[in-house]
Amino acid sequence: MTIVFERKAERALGVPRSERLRLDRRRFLASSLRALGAYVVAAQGVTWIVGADKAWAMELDAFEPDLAETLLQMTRALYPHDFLGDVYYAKVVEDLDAEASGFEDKSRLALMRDGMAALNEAAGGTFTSADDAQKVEALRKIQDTPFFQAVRSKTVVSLYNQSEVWTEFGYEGPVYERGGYLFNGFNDLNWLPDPPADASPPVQI
Amino acid sequence: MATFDKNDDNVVVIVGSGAGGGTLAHELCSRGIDVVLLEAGARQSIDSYVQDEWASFGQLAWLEKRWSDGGWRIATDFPNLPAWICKTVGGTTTHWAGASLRFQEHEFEIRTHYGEIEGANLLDWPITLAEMEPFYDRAEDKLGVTRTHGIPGLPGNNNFKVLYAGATKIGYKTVHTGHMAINSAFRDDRQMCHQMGFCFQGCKMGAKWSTLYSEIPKAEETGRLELRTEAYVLQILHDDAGKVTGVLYADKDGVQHEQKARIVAVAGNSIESPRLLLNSASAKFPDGLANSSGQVGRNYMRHTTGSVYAAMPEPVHMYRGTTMAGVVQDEAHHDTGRGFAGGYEIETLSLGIPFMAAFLDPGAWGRDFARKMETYDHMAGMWIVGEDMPQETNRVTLDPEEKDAHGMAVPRVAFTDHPNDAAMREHAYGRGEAIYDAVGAKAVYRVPPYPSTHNLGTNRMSENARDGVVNKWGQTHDVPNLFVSDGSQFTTGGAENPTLTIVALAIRQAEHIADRMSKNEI
Ligand SMILES: Cc1cc2nc3c(=O)[nH]c(=O)nc-3n(C[C@H](O)[C@H](O)[C@H](O)COP(=O)(O)OP(=O)(O)OC[C@H]3O[C@@H](n4cnc5c(N)ncnc54)[C@H](O)[C@@H]3O)c2cc1C
Ligand code: SF4
Repeated sequence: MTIVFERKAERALGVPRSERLRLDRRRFLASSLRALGAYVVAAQGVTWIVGADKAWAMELDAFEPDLAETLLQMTRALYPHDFLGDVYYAKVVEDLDAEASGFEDKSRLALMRDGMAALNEAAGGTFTSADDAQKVEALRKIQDTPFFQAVRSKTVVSLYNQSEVWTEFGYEGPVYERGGYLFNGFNDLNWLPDPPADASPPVQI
Repeated sequence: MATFDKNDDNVVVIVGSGAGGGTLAHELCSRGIDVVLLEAGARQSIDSYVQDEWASFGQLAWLEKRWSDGGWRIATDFPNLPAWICKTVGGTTTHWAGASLRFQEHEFEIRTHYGEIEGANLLDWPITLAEMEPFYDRAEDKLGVTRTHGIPGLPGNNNFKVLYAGATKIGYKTVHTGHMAINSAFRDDRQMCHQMGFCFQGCKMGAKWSTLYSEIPKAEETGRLELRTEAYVLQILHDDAGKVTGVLYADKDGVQHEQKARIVAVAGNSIESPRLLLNSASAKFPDGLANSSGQVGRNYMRHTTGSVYAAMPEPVHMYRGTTMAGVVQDEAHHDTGRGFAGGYEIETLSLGIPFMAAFLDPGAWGRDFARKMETYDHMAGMWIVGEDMPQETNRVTLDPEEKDAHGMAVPRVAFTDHPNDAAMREHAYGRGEAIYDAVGAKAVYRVPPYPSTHNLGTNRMSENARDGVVNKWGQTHDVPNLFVSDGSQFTTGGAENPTLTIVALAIRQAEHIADRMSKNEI
């Protein structure tokens, strides 16, 4: 995921160039990445997911606004992490959208649309207006459907495959550029005694 | 690198460049024998490896269509991914963690030691530990295995510290940073381990042994190896007398070629090797090549595995450093007092966030799952690897209808636990939990087996031709110039990670082939 979304947000919202948000990248990271309250808009027939503070926007190719909104909420209900802002779930919706528009026929899109209808029915109206407990209940009712499986299996890969998400979980990921964890805490645990040298010899430098 | 004519029928053709095939190629070339090594995958390098779990998986894994069948959970969770193995130069030695343990003496003779076990197709190997010892010794030297040949052990990481503290607290005695084919100091032109923690993604330091940058370049230097990459072998060809004459393969553009050979050695790992033999059925061999016993594809083993992860009271950051950072060996022996035959090893393991999400509880979702994931930086983890029972009905077959892009039948991999496997796993889960509970775990998670990383037994070795596919040299009982050189030869699986044994067998086989060739016997 790239973090430079400002320009897209402007395009979506028709923000004039002069009023362009001047965001300090670091403040953008801290506040926007944790923000909730993202919303979906349609502008000239194109669906956008927009961050609550308008710092980012994602353009979708295939999904209508109600489908995007439903999937945005569904993906969070599937893997709810309160410390993750909506931007990460929006990224999953973007991937689902790319997948659906990648199919030559409309079969994937139809699966999503029909799935949304079934999910709304399971929620007794509209999924997006249900409370958290009702959402879980509705998802449970449809969890054996191909729609659910398609969304869940995509979400579990796409959500947890974002490097900013790794940081939130305390996973540092690639370390080659830093010379390995050999110099970055591979054995810094100190709340247990160190094993003896015959079990765990010293570094051979 | 040499090049050989496709009509040169004096070369040895090896299918697959992994632990078995890559080693065999080097050993034969260094004995003056010309080798054409055909590898379905492309060639990567330590520069092109990526420290990103899914991206690396896409780069290295075998992603051709396969089906999982049978009672294992994999058939539900990963219907098209029965195994987690590679399609790339170096095979699964790019992915492997490097744990290198010898079989125990009784593990070559379990029919004798365990007796008859209902539902299991037990058989003694036609070789003993004593016969294997010199080859294990050479394999350990080749791989640079720590704690052998005067090579120091690796320093333990945080994940090992937790394992060590817990295991010794509950009374385990043999707990250390393992016998690893990972350099603890510079050796054999390979760097020392920098504790990158991406052993499963191809080691960017080259600290971990892999045929990609160890055996294959050395074989190339002899001037006797031609490695053809993206060469997908479809069939082994034979003459009227029943001797193999070469192979048919497709290049990267799908164009088919025939390469003639004096000898063919199959080392495509335990799904592809039997698939290739079965797909080489002919009027003379209607059930597949080398299959007079009907055992080709049967007795598929994958070790009894499972993981235990624990949320510890303080941070661990288990992903820092070697993936398999240490071992507990106290449960590896055979003692039916525990309610099962055979034994198991306990080895640390770690996954990054992407793979943890996929494997922690496949298919799970919701708040509980999310909470478990949120303990990630406090997690310690281990993997159990135990001897599983060979069963005739656990097998690789060809799908009767579905074909891949080259028109080759898609393989189906059926597996169901034997009750002995299930009892062992239950015991091991319990011991794993006890280890972490002893050092204050807040929660422990039993994680089901991953898609198979150890694939064994589908062309097994046997004394008698009716019981298996190959003899004690890996030579097929039915076809004198056809050999099997990978883990599919294993008569039984032992409790140990298999690669050291695959390499030792390949060294031994090379010596045998060179000797027989020099006497013009093959
Ligand atoms: C994540 C992971 C961790 C592991 N850790 C350990 C460990 O710590 N210790 C241990 O002992 N083992 C470990 N293993 C297992 C080890 O990698 C394998 O046992 C070993 O590599 C198997 O060797 P092989 O020669 O049988 O097959 P492979 O190494 O898989 O090589 C087979 C090669 O054949 C090629 N091939 C297949 N079919 C064809 C065809 N038709 N035409 C051309 N080429 C073909 C494949 O592309 C592949 O390159 C691990 C495996 C994985 C996946
Ligand atoms: S931990 Fe060591 S062996 Fe593993 S990838 Fe890193 S340098 Fe290589």
